[in-house]
Amino acid sequence: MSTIKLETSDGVKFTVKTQVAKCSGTIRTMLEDIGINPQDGEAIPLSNVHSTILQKILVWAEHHVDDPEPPRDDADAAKRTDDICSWDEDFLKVDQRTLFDVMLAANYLDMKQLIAVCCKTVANMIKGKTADQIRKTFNIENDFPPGDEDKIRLRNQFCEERR
Amino acid sequence: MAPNLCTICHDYDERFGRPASSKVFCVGGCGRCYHKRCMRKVVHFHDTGFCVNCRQETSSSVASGRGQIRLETLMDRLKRLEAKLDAGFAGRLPSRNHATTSNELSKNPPAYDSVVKDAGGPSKFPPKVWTNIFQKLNATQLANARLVCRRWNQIIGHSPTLVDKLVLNFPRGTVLTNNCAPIQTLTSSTKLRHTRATFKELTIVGAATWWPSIGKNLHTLTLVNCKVSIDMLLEMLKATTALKRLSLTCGENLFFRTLPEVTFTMQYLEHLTLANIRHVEILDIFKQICPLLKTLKLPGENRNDEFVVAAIRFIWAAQNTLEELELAGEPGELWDRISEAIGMQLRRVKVVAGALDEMRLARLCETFPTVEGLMTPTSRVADKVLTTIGANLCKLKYLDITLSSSDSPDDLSFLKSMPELRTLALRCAFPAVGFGNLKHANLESLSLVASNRNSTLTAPGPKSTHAISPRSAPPTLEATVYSLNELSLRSDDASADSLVGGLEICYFTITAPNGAAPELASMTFKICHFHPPLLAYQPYIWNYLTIYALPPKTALEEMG
Repeated sequence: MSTIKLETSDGVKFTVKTQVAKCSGTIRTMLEDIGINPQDGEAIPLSNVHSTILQKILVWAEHHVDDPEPPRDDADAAKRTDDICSWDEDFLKVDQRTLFDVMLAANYLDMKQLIAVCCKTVANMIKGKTADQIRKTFNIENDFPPGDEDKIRLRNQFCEERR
Repeated sequence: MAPNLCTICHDYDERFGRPASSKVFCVGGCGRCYHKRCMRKVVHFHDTGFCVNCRQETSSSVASGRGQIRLETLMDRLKRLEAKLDAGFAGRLPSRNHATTSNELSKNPPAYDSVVKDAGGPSKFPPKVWTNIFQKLNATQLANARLVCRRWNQIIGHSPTLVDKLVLNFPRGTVLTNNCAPIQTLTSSTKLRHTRATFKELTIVGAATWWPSIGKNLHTLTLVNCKVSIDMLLEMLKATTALKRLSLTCGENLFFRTLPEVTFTMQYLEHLTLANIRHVEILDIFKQICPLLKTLKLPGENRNDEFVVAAIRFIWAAQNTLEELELAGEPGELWDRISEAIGMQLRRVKVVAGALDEMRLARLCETFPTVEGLMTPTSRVADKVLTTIGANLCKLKYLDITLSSSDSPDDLSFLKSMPELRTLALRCAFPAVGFGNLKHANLESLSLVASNRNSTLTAPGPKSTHAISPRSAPPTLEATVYSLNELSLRSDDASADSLVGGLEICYFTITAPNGAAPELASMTFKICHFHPPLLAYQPYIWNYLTIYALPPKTALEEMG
């Protein structure tokens, strides 16, 4: 089985099965469209990904390498957040910083399935919380000028879901 | 240089008693300072925090001396700059280290911890990622997320798909006048360009003052049982120039004073739903308003001759653009007249409330060979007619129909005449389920519904639960499909507690052509009887997708 080398931002080199590396749209494009030859032995630089994170992502890719193509986009499937498979759930039971870094790296590497599962996880962290609780969870500062938050709150009463 | 003299305007004062912090010092420590209001004129200072001299001298020995004091201001600015970059190059994140001013730079390679400290929390996500996350929230959660911080508020407010979720509505029973309290709140608070509005059970008395500013952004408007005069409604529609979808549930609440004259057209309106029409004149009014209609839905009861005539007039007027039609099956004359509009390029036909008989259905399919979706759940047809329909509709992708129970086909051979079919929902009275040796290349979703309740042919009495006729041989379902990813087998028989109701399938196999199990994304079984219990068989089922069912009484007892 053919392998390619990846080099992370901190200079660590990984040797990865080509098939696994192709879970990343970015790498796939590099290999297929731009025509980087993996046999050259030259490592593909991933300047935005730290080795700790890449290692984690490769574990995920290894596990999901044989997954079928996701079904066509439909609105219903996009809304659901309770369909994370148990392996992924365990995989993403990490501290928030790691989760966010995995997500950023997945975004950079263009791994749609991993992004989707991360998004679902983060969305689940938002659901059912008040604005204050959300700020606390993500350590976000309330930077609204005084009064603006109340204005949005007033406005919000006209876009709640009603039955 | 005199202290606190702005380098740009050479002005000393803090205008209008503004606090001293409105001046920013050069981080290089040379003592130059700038008014915040002047600062933006000097690009390099605004972006880096260095005046022109210091910028050339150094950029690494910043964290010392007097610069240290201003470091916080600088970091603030850098954060802003980075946010800008993120927005500009979503997906291509700039290297984090260039912004670091502490001595983390000297480490090589930087340890992971120092990098993540800098990478920070979710504030660094590109908007694309946030939009993706927010997509998973419902309207209430999304509205709540807007309150968290300015960035989130901006991201949500600038994403068309997210704004779409924030549907404008009012509590039921609200009376909207030109100057009522909810309207005042709405117009006085922060701006959000709603693109969808749903009004339920409101009374609209006046709209002239506030509606134009809201209406001009709308692409979808739904009015359900709102008390409004037709004149007021037309005034409102006149101001919603960009509207694409309009849905009106009129009932008695849409009232007429006089028959209004129509003076405008809605050039973008493509989808129109008019439900429960009481005044046929409405059809004639909308016939004039919507010149480019693609979808017309007229659900509801109370059909009289007058309605048929007006509906026909409407459909004929719109026949050049009309692609989708949703109408009740009754009265059949309406469909006879529709079948005469030969030029129409219909793509989807849905028959709601009431069935269409075999003859009319066949004729409809003959006239409109372009139909891709045929949804007529209650129309009963024999499988021979289905074969004819399939032969006529070579593009058919979605079919929802009832198989007449007088027929008990051994195999669903009509599927051979529908090679393009993607979704099939088949209702049938038991035991008319048999797949023979079906082979189908494109079927993605298969739903079999046993509707005993409606089956007058097999049910001996209206309240009897013994709806299933005695079965001589176990019905066999066997199918070879290439791309099935959804399977649903259920019984609509409400008497779940009865031991004889429900769908019985005695032998059922679905295999992919290479003998493997197809990738099924979802399986639904409702009131289906299995023996041994489904759970015990699960690994086996998932591998081979074979389900055995024995007489329901035994099955239910076994399942406990």
